[in-house]
Amino acid sequence: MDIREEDLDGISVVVPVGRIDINTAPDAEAALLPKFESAKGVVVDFAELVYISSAGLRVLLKAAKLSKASGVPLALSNMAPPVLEVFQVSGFAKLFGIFDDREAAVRSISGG
Amino acid sequence: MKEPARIILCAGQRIDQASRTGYFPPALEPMLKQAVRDRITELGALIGYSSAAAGGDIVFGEAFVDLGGELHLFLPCERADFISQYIEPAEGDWTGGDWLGRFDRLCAKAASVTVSCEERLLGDDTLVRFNNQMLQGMARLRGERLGLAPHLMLLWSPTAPLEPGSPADFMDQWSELSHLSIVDLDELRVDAGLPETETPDLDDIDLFDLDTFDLEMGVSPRAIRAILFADIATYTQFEDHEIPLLFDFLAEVQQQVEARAKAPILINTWGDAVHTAAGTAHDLADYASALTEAVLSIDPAGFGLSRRPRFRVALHAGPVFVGLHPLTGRSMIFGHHVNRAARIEPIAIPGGICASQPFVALLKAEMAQLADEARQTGTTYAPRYDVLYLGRKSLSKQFGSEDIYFLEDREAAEWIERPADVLSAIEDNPPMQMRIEVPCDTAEIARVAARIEAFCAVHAIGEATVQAVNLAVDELLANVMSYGVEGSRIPDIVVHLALDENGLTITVSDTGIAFDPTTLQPPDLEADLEDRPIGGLGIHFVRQMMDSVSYTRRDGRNETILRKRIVSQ
Repeated sequence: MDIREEDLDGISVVVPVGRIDINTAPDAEAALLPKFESAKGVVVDFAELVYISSAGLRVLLKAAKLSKASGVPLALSNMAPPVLEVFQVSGFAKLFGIFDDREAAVRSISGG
Repeated sequence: MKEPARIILCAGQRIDQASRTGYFPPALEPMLKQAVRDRITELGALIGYSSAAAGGDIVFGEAFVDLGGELHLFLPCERADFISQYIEPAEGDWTGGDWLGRFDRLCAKAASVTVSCEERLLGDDTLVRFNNQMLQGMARLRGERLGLAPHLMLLWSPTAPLEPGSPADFMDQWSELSHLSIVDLDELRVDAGLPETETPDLDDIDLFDLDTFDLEMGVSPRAIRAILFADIATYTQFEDHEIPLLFDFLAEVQQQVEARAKAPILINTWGDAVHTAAGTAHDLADYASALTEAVLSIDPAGFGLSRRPRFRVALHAGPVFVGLHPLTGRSMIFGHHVNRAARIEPIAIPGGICASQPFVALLKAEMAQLADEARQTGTTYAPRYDVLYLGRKSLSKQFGSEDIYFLEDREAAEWIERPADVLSAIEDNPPMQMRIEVPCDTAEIARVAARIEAFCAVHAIGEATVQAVNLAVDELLANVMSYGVEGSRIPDIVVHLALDENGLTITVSDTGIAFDPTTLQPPDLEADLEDRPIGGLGIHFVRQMMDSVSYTRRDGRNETILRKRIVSQ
């Protein structure tokens, strides 16, 4: 899958494009996890994401673990309302810093 | 208050073995046992589905039966193989545990133990993947019969490598994120004061390396396939001179099928029958539906036939060996489940499509995935297929018995009727519950009314009651579809009917904007037409016609519950 990456002062912004499902989750994982070795912080921007399955959520959970273990902060941004609702109802929202837009996410990581 | 999760599905991390790094060390077991007990109680679970590998599965199973739950175990292969692969490696000094004894005792206490595939594992992950699909499917089917959604509980370390059958793999196959809970083994370790697992080297993380395995000589690769067997029930009634005419008829059938459905992966003859295989249950159902409709719609007289051929179509699913036939060069499938599908076909009802439990399980899981995607992308999804349970039927020779369903295509032509055999099978055991998922489209309301009428007819519920119920449901559905939509977010709507000695209970629930129909003021019947609020009149009637109307909002859903006592005919 197409995954765009940008660097904002050492904060890595990862923008998955399209779908994260059982077929594309490996690409997302390969792009996201190594960031925790080098970046000052990681933001996953959902703006271009059409669909995320539980396979995608699993990648995010793994990233959350890596974030905790490595001390490199992680935040999520630009979630569409149906996706945000799923995160909230399932209780997974508690595990992530979730922000309306990328700038707020980056600010929270840099400032915090 | 969270709605109880009565049906749960559990996948647990395997207990550490000597050669494996510590995701589930034996010292963690008491903490896990307590956490599992607490979670089961919190969820209010009564019916459980899981496998029984040494580790999380067995800890769950023991806790569940101990708490009085009804446990159904599914094993990917027959006992000896399962024990050598999933129980014995954990035995002995390393864990100090008697996993074999615990496994046997758990099997004895379980409500059922099913082996998904009676073939040797052969180091192949396909059987484990299939077993997981069966577990998921069975939990869903049971849920539908009871009007409940199943819940997945994972006992898991998120950093453990992905392996087929691992909780991670289970999660990947699960659609409803809102019905998922995780007992995080890493966090339990921290709470227990045990040393943490080393952060795995990124190079060691096995990224989805599921499709490669060492092929031994003489062992064909396996895959999970949806399998169709079909033959003409009345074949022997055709005279020799009619056979070429029959083949012309079938050529026309084939033309129509090709136009309507995706071509199957393979198609071969099997004696008088034909069998095909597809990668998904949905693809195969589409093909079967196109085939059935073509046979029913083409005029046999146009081909000089005196009678219409009647097809029996059976759908099954399971792991099969795939290969090329050495003599014909054609691709073929073989193995236990192909033989099983062949045995189901003779008991299928002519003129329609019958499906086995594994097929239905797979189809339901696929449709759940499509529904989940539609929810997220804000599109409407209408499940294409409905299934009617016909009963447990015996299969010939040593194939035991199978739960058989009748498959119905909502997109099939209007004039296609249910075969009489299906109607009598349903009459013998009419279900006492019905769950209808309603796409958010006012055109669907009529369809819901038809299903409610059919349900009430089967239970001999009087006309007056049926009309009252339909009017009430119509009003509630119209309200949700008009007012429950928020921007691009389209609500999921479910109508559930249950019949017991107290009468009918109808629940209309939706994920739309919070809206309590019971707070609508009764209309001022004296006021001029222009002054009356829209919809108020309908809700007023709902209150009059039903014995009770109540509303709750929970878990992001509106739930309106109507009750109506039944006046006997």
